[in-house]
Amino acid sequence: MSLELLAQTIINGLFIGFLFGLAGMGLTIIFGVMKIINFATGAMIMLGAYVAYWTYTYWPYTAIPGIIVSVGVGFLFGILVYQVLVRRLIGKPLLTTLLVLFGLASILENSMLNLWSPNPRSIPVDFPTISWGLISISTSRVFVSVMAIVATIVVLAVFKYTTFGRIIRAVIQDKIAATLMGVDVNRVYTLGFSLGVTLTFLAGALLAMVYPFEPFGGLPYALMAFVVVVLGTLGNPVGCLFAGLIIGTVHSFVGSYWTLNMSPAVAYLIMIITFLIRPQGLMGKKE
Amino acid sequence: MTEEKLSRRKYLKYAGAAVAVGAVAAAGYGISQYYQQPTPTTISPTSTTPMVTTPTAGKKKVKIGGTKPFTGPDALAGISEGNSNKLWTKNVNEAGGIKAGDGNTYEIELILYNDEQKPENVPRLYEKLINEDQVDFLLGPVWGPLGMATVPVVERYKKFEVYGTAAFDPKDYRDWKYIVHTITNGPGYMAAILDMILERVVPNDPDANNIAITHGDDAFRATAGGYGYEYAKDKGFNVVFYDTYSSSVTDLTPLLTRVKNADPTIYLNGGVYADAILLMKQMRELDFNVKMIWAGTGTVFPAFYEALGKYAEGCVTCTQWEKGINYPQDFGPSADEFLNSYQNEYGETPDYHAGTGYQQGLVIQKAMELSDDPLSSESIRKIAGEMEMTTFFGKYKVDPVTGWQIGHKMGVIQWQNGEKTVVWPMEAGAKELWYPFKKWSER
Repeated sequence: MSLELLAQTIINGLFIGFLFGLAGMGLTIIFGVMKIINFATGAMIMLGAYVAYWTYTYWPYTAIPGIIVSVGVGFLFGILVYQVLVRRLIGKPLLTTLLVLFGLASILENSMLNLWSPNPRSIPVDFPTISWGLISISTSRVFVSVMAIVATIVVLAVFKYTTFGRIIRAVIQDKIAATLMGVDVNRVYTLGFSLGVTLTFLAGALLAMVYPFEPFGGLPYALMAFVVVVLGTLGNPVGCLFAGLIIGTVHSFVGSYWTLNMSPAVAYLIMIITFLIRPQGLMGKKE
Repeated sequence: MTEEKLSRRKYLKYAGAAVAVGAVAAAGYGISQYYQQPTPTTISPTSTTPMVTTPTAGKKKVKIGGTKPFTGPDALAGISEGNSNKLWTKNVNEAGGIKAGDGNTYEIELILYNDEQKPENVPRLYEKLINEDQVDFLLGPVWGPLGMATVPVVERYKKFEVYGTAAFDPKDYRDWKYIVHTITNGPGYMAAILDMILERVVPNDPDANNIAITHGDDAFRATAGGYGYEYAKDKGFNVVFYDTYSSSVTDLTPLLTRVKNADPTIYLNGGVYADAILLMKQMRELDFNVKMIWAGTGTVFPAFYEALGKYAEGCVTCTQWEKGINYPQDFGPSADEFLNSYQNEYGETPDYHAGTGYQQGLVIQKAMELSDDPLSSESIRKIAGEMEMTTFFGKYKVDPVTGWQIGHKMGVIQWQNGEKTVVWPMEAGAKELWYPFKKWSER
């Protein structure tokens, strides 16, 4: 019995960890590229979920088109938000960024409230559950985890093997030198921000398959994304995924062996300890 | 300062942005229209513009006011209750008004403001109702924290209030003198289901005595679940598992894994709509089967069934009132009359918030009919504390001192073939109970 509980706890933790990691990845890429913290992450996760849900209502056979549409809309939305709002924030004090993006979050949340009502929604996908004794694995969770892994691999491949990725890394390392080499920094920022927003929308679309969501429901995910980003090193996508798995597993162990009430508190405690003893995060080097 | 000439490129960029914004707005409007089609309210969403129903000129009138969350997370409940406040006003005025105990007939003027589901808005709006709008009586809002926010104002100005669908922890009671309640309070929610289990299930399945209880940690969920846990122990249930969770939880699998390991026969959760859906989805993912499940009060909403489909079949929940609960009323419309009247007015089936809204009005109406000083809060509160009646909503009887509802009995419904079927209380016309809950793999 206790071994089965242990196994189920680890499985539960890894499944939610992939989602935390993916949510954090969008945040960390935006910070890595342009040193801006996306305080509208929670609202964007929910918007991604709603786009997937809305697509599902028109194509109620599978959730896949919803995910694809959400990713596409996320990319375009990222470009729009960058051009209209975010490019004016580069180099501005942190407080300005905080206020503007917080305002954007508020606009998005209230727009979602008006468009889709306050009722929590859910995509009723019908994936089977596989059981061995008391251990159960939901194939919808497996699907979500695989998608998160694929997204991470694609992001890493883009960063490492494409010209665009090399340009982004050049801008991250030295913006002025990259500009002198003929790199259009504004374009890189636009695409970098859009990539981050796309991943955030993807996290929302995947979340919609396994969790209910509502217009103001993004905050807990956003807070976990911040914890994951801090733990996994700001700007590091791989660190983010690992940190997501760690936080997910800790969440699961605290909930299974202690009480679910303390799970967020333990996650924030980990963030505080990280700040105190390893502020550069798990993957960062000491400056 | 240099003046920048608008280049063609910039012009095209701005024009493109304008078109994009316009397209997004148009799309948004389209979606909004699509999703708002079933919403039957005409109430202004702003708190500064009240919804006013005025009586015929020249007649005596009673002014009644209140707030509802017409926007915010519980807006649907607020709109339902507000709709019924309006419907009661309309029906009474069309019938000539309230024939009060002083021999006069009073037509009703109703003023409802939108509190936006923000407790900080409530004291200001109730002070406005009392001081500027000069209302005679008050109707409470939906949602516990909003209801609690009315209490200091009501007590300070000594205005009679009929509380709405707003539960509160009895420990928070502080000698309130001007409030009476219509609904069964939070501690009675789980108790209704436990009573039903004792009466209908345990005699046929002694294992049904083994139950698990969990609940969220906010005021309502803690009241419903915490008092439910105490009630279960008092009634002799074997509570094999009990724990709480943060009401803002996004993942219940760790908790459900523990509940599953405790192997309960019946699982009761003090939750609302969002955690009820989450709990059901994750129980299925964990292949956690029980013979009966109460996922939370949100089970009562049609959206619960829409979100879960066949997996909602067999779920039970308690309800203050529901279509199909038929009490032999001695005051106000019958259940069918209320149902038809609401459906004709708003084009949808009323939920229990709508039932509460009408009951709020009936309490004032009955008390005024019995009072020889029908605009006095002191007189109406005294009578409302002593009178008894049975309406379509059920029994009304309050403790004369505290104003707590002690006569009303909650019902229990079960989703059967996509319909809510009343399964308790037996005297309200309960139908067959589906037991046990079908296993996930057999659906």
